[in-house]
Amino acid sequence: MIHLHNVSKFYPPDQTALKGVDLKVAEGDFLFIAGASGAGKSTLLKLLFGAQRCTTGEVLIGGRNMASIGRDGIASLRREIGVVFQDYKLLPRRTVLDNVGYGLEVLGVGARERRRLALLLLHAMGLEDRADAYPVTLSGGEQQRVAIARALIRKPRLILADEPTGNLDHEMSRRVFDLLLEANAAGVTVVVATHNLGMIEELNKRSIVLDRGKIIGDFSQANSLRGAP
Amino acid sequence: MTPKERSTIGLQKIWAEGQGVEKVSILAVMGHVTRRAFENLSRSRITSSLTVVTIAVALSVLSFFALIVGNCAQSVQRESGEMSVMVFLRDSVTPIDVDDIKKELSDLTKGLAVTYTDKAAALSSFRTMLGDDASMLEGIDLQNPLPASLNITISDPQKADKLFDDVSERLASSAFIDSIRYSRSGVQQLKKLLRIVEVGGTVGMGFLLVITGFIIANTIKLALYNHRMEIEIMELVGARRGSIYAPYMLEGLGQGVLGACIGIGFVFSVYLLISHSMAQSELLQMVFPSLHFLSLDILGGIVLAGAAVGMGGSFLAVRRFLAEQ
Repeated sequence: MIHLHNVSKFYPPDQTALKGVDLKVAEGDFLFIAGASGAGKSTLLKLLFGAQRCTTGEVLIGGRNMASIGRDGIASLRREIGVVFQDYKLLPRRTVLDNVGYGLEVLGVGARERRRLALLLLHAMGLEDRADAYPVTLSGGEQQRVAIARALIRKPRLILADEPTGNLDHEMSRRVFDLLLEANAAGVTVVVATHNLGMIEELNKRSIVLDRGKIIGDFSQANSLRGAP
Repeated sequence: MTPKERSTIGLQKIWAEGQGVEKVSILAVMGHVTRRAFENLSRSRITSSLTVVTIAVALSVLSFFALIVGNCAQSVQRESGEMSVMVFLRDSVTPIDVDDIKKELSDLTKGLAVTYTDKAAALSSFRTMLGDDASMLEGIDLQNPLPASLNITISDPQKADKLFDDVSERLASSAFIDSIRYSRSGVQQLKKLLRIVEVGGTVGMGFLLVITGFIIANTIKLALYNHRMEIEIMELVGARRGSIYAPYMLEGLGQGVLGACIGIGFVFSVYLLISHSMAQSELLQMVFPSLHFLSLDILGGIVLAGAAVGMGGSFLAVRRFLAEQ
């Protein structure tokens, strides 16, 4: 699903965000990217959904080379990717229902279908009573679950999450990860960048550790992280 | 946490429900674009108003230019249409002499209207022209000072100069001729003025349109910063380029057409004001005996220009905005 070959990313004038990164993630895998702030986690995710291009090396997503697919290709790829951010990125003037169905709206799916699917998801998440509320009236955990619902409404092949539980307490973090794990169990590849070592250990999934733009550890089981630098 | 403890929401079942849902509906696409365009307009009232005012000001100046140029052109056309070479005859000339003169000029006046006006007809015409003041001419009939004349009318202003020169040369030594006149200088000055107005107007309008395009692009770009999160999210969820551009271009189209209508409305008010003032000014009436508003073709062109500038400005703004992301 994901193949990075000797990927580097430099920002002018002389900042190195990633250096010589090699990574393979198979379809249906669950991967944690751990590391301190500034280690390159967010940059790596941006390369994966085409928000940025690598300076050198090759990024392949589903067999497509991100350097050569152009804007339309990236837009097409993003329809197969769900992206979740720490700051939720919900539209403040749209209701929860509209936010969840937004990915379908911009593609031209009819209002009735959008509403039906969004309500199904919100109902399943226990947020149906917030469907007509605006994001600002929701708690952080609720907003993040709405953001995940938006990412999940079209069955994505890949979910990329950047610090999805950064602003949430442990209980709410668990609920968010439950959603990601269920998607993964249904065959969706999930990549999560996080500081939350406790959750990485608890979920016991493959994890890589970044330090100053380099992968310094690739652990098939999170427990091995205990020994990481 | 073990898998047993995890809560699930039945994603597989929900996705199964949504299978095939991504079939695109043109109505839904149009609905989305229209809804976004109206949302943008209502959320950015100040910047939207600024854009509409900018377009209105630019297009009202453009319309005003068109109004002046159009009326000047009509004035010149009218003057040219009535252009004539007047051959004034001496009082001693007999009808036979007039026929001789006509024959002498026949090759020059082929296809042109040549009218003979005798002294009495000239006085009668003058009396009609004076209207209420014709009483000034009482008692003058016996000593009519007005000469008889041959009036050669020509509709092509480009040939009038040559006709005058040829007629003057041909009749230079004739004993029957008092003088030959032709309002060359006035017509030429009007033509020069029209040319200046046309060239200046075209350059000015082109310059104005380009400036307006840039101002509008920047104004809309300013408005886009209010929507940057929405655009970012649209890109994140894989919106097609057209879906991102279309609402803003529709918004620009609306602003352009509205601005053009306001501009035209303003110029129409000025036109009514001038028309009203003209009724009281003999000078204006002499230059523009009848003032005409812009033709439907030109009005349509101005509305189209507004639409094009609005849409073009929006397109440029979104393109620049996306390039900076």
